[in-house]
Amino acid sequence: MESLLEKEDLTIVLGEVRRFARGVVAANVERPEHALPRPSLDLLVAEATEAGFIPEAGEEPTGLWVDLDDPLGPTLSARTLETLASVNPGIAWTCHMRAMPVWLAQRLDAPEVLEGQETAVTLQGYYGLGRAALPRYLAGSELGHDDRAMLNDWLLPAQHDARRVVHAPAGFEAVLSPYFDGEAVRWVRQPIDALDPLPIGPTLGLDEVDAIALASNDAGTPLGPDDPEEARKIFAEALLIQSLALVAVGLGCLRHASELAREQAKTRIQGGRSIEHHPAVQSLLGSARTAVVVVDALLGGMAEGPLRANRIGDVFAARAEAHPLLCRGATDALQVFGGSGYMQDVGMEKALRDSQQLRLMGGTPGELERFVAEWERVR
Amino acid sequence: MNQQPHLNGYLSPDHPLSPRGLFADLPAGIRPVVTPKLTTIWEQDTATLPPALAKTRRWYRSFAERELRHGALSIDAAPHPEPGKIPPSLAALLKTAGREGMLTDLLPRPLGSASLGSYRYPLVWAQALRTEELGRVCAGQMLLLSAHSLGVIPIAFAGDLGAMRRFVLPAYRQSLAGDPHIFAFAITEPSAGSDAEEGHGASGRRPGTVAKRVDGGWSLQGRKVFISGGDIAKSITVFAALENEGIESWTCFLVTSDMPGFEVVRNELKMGMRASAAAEIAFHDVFVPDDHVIGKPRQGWAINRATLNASRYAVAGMGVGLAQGATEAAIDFACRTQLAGKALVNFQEVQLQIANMITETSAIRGMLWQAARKAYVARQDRSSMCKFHCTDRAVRVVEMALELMGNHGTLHDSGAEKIYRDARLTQIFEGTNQINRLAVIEDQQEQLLARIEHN
Repeated sequence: MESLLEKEDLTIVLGEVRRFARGVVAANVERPEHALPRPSLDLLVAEATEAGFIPEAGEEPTGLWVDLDDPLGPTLSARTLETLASVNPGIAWTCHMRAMPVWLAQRLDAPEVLEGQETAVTLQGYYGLGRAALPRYLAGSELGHDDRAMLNDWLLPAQHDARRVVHAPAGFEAVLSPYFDGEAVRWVRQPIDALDPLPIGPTLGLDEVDAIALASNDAGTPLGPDDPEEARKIFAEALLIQSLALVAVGLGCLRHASELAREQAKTRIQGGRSIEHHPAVQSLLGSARTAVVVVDALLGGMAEGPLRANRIGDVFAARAEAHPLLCRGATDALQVFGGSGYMQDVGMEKALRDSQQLRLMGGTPGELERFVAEWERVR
Repeated sequence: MNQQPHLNGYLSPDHPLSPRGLFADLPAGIRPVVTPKLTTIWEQDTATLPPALAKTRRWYRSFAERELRHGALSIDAAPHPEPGKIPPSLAALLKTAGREGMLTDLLPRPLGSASLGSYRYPLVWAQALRTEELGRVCAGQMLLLSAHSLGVIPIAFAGDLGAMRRFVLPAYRQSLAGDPHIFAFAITEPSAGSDAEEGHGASGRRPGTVAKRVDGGWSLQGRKVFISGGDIAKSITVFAALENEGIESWTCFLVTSDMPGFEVVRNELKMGMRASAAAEIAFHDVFVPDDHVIGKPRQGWAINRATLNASRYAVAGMGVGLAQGATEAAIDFACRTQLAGKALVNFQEVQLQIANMITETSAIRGMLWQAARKAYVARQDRSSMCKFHCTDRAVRVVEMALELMGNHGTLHDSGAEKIYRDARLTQIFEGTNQINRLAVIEDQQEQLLARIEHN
């Protein structure tokens, strides 16, 4: 497919994002030991929307996840998130979560879901990634009883009081989530008040984002196309977008941590010289930088457009590889700081916590690998 | 036919091919050799300890379950206390720990609270058991109770019985009476980091905390950072260089918190181990009388290194305890969490992850105990090997636990995310794990040089 976007367009847009991130966002998050107050976060999101980075409902939305049929579209969105995350991963994730309902409403041809209450999209099933049932479903294989039970329980675990955990922008009022109706994945929008919301205390990372545990039920009007094949594609695309977002945010986070570690190594004197000359420190810096370079390449491959559902195996494989690398890089970058890296005001421990949080959301590396194995077998 | 319950993929224990009944028909003389008793790994490991240490290990576990478990998550989630404002629950814990002998177990009864039987074995072994069992339940509270011992060890290693009599025994009596007297150990300086833990770096460093000779004693000037328990300690073993000299002049001074000019500047905001503060402390011309010099002037570097060589076994023990705690949290999660009508532990991939965690934890425990059981002399290479390897592998085990629990692991209530934040510190303090690797080579230097010459 021919691209409407030029590479120069990417440069221009990402330059604007960079200016916004460093000029506006950075000023609000210069003290990593203090969580960003809700009013400041709302203001930042409003400014990002105004600047065109987050799409709004309307005929000509612009910003994240809008031009995914364009060969350069997924790259533009992923690199936008990466750039924002290089200043603050939580704000980048918030922007992604604000954009997802706009993409999904358009894809489901259901603009009404954007009206009224602030809505978050969640793809987080109850536990795991649907084991082998998910790749079988997405590959169009015939599903057995166990597969159906697994998909149903993964997405709608109403039968044993389990709760799904949703990490979403503070203050969201409704949730748009998938469920399996025995034939295809459909969607339903529900006010969170109907889902017995339980606020969760602090989580490992992404301090700027709320975590809420929700009960499950399928009350509400099913959304999505009647055609099961089209429903399958939409769900796969949603998972693809989420994977891109998780890796892009993680990469931005590590890029920042790696740069901080390099600066620290230049200025910190030990043994009579700056520590960047010590091989033990060079190994740590090299590890962090290597992770940046490798994940950058992985993200480049993952984001090759246009977005197509049948690439999910490759994208999951890349994500399975990316997150352990990102976490290794973040922990090595922190180690360069020694004891001060463990303290909240330096910001390195936040980078590590955010990296670990991103590794565990939306399917862990082990779950992604098992998906890939089954996907390769059945597709 | 299977009669008893069984996990998916396994025969029930009463199946003829199950390992449980498999050996029943073998000759009576062979059966006991091939049929182990059904006990937990913890019981199996404890049974390998000398009886006195087995008893000590059971005491540590029972104390941790009784006194540390209930407050572990709430203390971690509470705001960082300001210097000198210890939360009531931790103040109560210190009192209880004092009364029950948990602050005095470096010395045998009647001077301290360690059993005479356990004193037949290297002290570092018992201390490693202690940090494992307490760290398994809550590493932050473990550190609150254990960094104290680190402050006492320099006095013991100075070999100065007078100092033990003047400073340690009264403090121990106070603690046993329910008035906890906490010690702290202060080596790290704002501009120093690893230089305080490694000789080569230290040799080129200009010390930041300096002692100036004055009538009847010394005047201390400078700052120390990241001092565990420095905010609540009544006595601190402080290492300072003598005026106009390098770190080779390091001298150990016993500073008490009521000395004029001593200040707790602030408590750091830490990633984890939050029950124990890391304090920045300052000395503004603090007068330290001559009888508060621990050992002799200029013996501080030797005392410091000896202290670290002993205490790194205890840090390795923290790693083992954190790995054990994470493994248990993951197993508990896998047994109580249902997916598609089955407990997660029925899924083979979950079983594989649990097996890896149990095995990794057993491996580092084995390494530590093997080294500690012979550590009548605390060797630098052995203690550093244990420190960096046990803590690196422990963090890996905690990551496995998080992986098994998936996004549930990120929740504070899961316990695992706290364990991850706690565990990360063990790779940093008492010498980063990079410094500890170098310490292994330093201790092997003569052998390596000989091989160079031989070639």
